[in-house]
Amino acid sequence: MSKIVSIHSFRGGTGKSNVTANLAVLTALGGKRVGIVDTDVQSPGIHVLFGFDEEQIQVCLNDYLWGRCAIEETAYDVTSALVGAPVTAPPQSRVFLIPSSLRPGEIARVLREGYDVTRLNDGFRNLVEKLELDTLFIDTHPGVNEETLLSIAISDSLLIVLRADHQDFQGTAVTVDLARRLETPQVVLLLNKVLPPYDEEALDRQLNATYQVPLAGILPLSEDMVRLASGGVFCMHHPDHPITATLRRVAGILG
Amino acid sequence: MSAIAAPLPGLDTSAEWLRRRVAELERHFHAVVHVVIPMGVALLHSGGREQLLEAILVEAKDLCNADGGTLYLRTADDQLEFALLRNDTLGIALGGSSGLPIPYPPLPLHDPVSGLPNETNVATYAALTGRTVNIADAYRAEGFDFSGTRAFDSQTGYRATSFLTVPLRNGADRVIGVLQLLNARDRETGTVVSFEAGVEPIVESLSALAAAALEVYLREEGLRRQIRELHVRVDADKRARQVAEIAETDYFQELQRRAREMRQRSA
Repeated sequence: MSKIVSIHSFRGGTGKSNVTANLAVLTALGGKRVGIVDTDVQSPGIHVLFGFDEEQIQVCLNDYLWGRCAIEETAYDVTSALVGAPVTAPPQSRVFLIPSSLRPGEIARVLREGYDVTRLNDGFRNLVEKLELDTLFIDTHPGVNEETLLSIAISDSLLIVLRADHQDFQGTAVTVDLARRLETPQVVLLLNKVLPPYDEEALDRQLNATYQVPLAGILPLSEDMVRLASGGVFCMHHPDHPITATLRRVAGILG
Repeated sequence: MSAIAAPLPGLDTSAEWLRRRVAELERHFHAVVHVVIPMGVALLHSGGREQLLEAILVEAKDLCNADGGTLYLRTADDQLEFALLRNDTLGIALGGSSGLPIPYPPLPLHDPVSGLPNETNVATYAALTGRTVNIADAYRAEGFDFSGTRAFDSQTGYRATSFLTVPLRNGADRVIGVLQLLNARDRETGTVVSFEAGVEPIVESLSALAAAALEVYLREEGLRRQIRELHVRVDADKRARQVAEIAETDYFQELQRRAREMRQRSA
């Protein structure tokens, strides 16, 4: 059974794209075929993490949305990102990247012209089917707008990445409530960039009480993560790091 | 033996004196190389600051062959509270890894009524002045009130004699605690003697490390407390208002309807 997983955050800078790339790679290393759709235009762009040059991108998601090509034509095979893992990836593992340059103006126009959920949903479903994907990860645009709501609506799972600050706490509450109304089957949280030391249990308890959704994991603010920055996919560079262990658990929860 | 005697007259140049002096210097060298520097290195590594603090007290005590040692911490309300207490003769180990609380009340640094500095107690004096105090015999010391010590002695049958009291200064030169060693003993005879002046700089170095360990520990504790007290606060009215604003749009309702249809279809 294929899954669509959206990774969202209320504000930029939560490390959402990094988390998405890592979850996709960790899932693929488990012998899965995964796709990553980048709909986040304000962040550096998830393709950078895969060492993917912007000039290599000929067609992208919006070309599909404008009817210029089939959805599967926008997918780039970046399975080579799995090379160098301590455990060789099973032969069936695949990572596809669907880059996007969905500018806010364009998406607004698409929406204004009556572009509907079923169409994007069909696009994603086609992608899943044509590429025989086990999991499709959607790296969403930060904030709540029409495009993110679409992603949330069509997802089987929603992972909200947040930092331990008041604005993120407030924004996450709104996103959780909207996801509930959209009947997204699975909603989980990932608290990122937490300044150590922290009381994991107390945070878990409080987040649970506030949102009534499970906390999939807590990631500390890590010097190793900061040092790597956008230089690669963290779990490939630090396979034995505690952060990688947590991300692996999160991938399992979303699995 | 006369070959190693110093040529200056009037000095104690006996071979015995020299032997003891060399042994003392060797101990000091050993303490710097094997205790002070490794403690400093340990401090650079993360974790276990609380244990490090205890290790520093134990090492300072061993260095002076002292029978007892106390570590006081300065509290936010201007008192010195007992954090660690060790006494070999009495077999007492309280605070820290012992897991046992210390029953003694904290020592006020200022008189609660007059507000005057409490310089009568040697530990509070060291904290207030930032000076190291080396006392050969508490019962004969002038200027300090050792009534607490005497009361303790009369209850336990102990005889507190020599004290070496060293303030713990933090990076900002503020005294954040006091390290106190009790009853130095002659290594050969075991009799209680005064603390040799030569050991003071080494105990002061250990105290500086203890202060640094304590600072890091307190900062981490503060952060831990901050995290424990980190409340996930969400403005419920604002939450409901923002959700309603979005949920009431035609777009959202259409999306909701289609998403439901889609799920029913795939189910």
